[in-house]
Amino acid sequence: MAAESVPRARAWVRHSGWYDMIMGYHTPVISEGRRYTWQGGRAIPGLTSVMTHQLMVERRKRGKRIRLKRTGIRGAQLGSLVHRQIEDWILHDGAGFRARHPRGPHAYTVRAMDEMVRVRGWQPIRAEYVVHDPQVNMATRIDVVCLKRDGTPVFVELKTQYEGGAFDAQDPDKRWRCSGPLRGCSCTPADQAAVQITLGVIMVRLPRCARAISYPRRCASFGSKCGLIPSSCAR
Amino acid sequence: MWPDPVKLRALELDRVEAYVLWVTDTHVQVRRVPTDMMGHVGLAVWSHLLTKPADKQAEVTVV
Repeated sequence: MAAESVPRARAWVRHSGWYDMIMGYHTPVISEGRRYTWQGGRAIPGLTSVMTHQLMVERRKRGKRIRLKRTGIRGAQLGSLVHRQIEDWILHDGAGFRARHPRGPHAYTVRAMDEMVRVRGWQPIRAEYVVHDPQVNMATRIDVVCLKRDGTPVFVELKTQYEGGAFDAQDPDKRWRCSGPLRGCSCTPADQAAVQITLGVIMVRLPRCARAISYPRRCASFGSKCGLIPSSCAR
Repeated sequence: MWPDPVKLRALELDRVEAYVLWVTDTHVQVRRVPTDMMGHVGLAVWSHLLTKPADKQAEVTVV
């Protein structure tokens, strides 16, 4: 699928009540690379670092870097490239995309866009959507926001080539904190991604309707050993 | 009792969909994050984070 063949925002998406809300949500938080700041000043922790420091324990594996055999690109670089290309694909037309990426879209970018647009019929409307919550004092970027034909918003967390395919494998060096709300749950990359997108979605929803909610001071225990995403939800 | 259905309703998490899209060399896998998981886990984690002072968020703990 060529870059220019992805439809631009179609008229029907504007009939969704969510369109105005999502497109109209702007936060004073500025995202520069992996850093978030309050209008260029005070630093704001990102969701990933909050998850790592507040919810998880991790044994650092120094020097361990995944290098993909075929392309020679490091795993993290590939992820950044695909994220950037998807953002440019959504924001710009074919010429604009080619100006930014003269070598064309990466195969992963094409595959991800093809899945969202052609296979599932979602209309991407925003990418790298910065959301922020002042109460918790954290910010994150939602990778892609789409609308379905019926107007339902779809929030997508994009992952690329996780360590040779071990998306569902439990990493023995990572687990949820025993003192945290996810103690006992599995902590696979798939589960971490699910928690990540869930918190991002809650940050989108909170400003609109949940400011008045009072939260309990203590959390329930999730003693289940099963994965957070049941395998039945896989395609 | 947890989760509080009133809070879940207020968040209207049942009106949105969240997916994890995983691209590899050989395939694309798309998984929907179940709504009840978003409600239970999301709000539990959220309320946990609210109990932490904001300036403590950046503390690093390596085990």
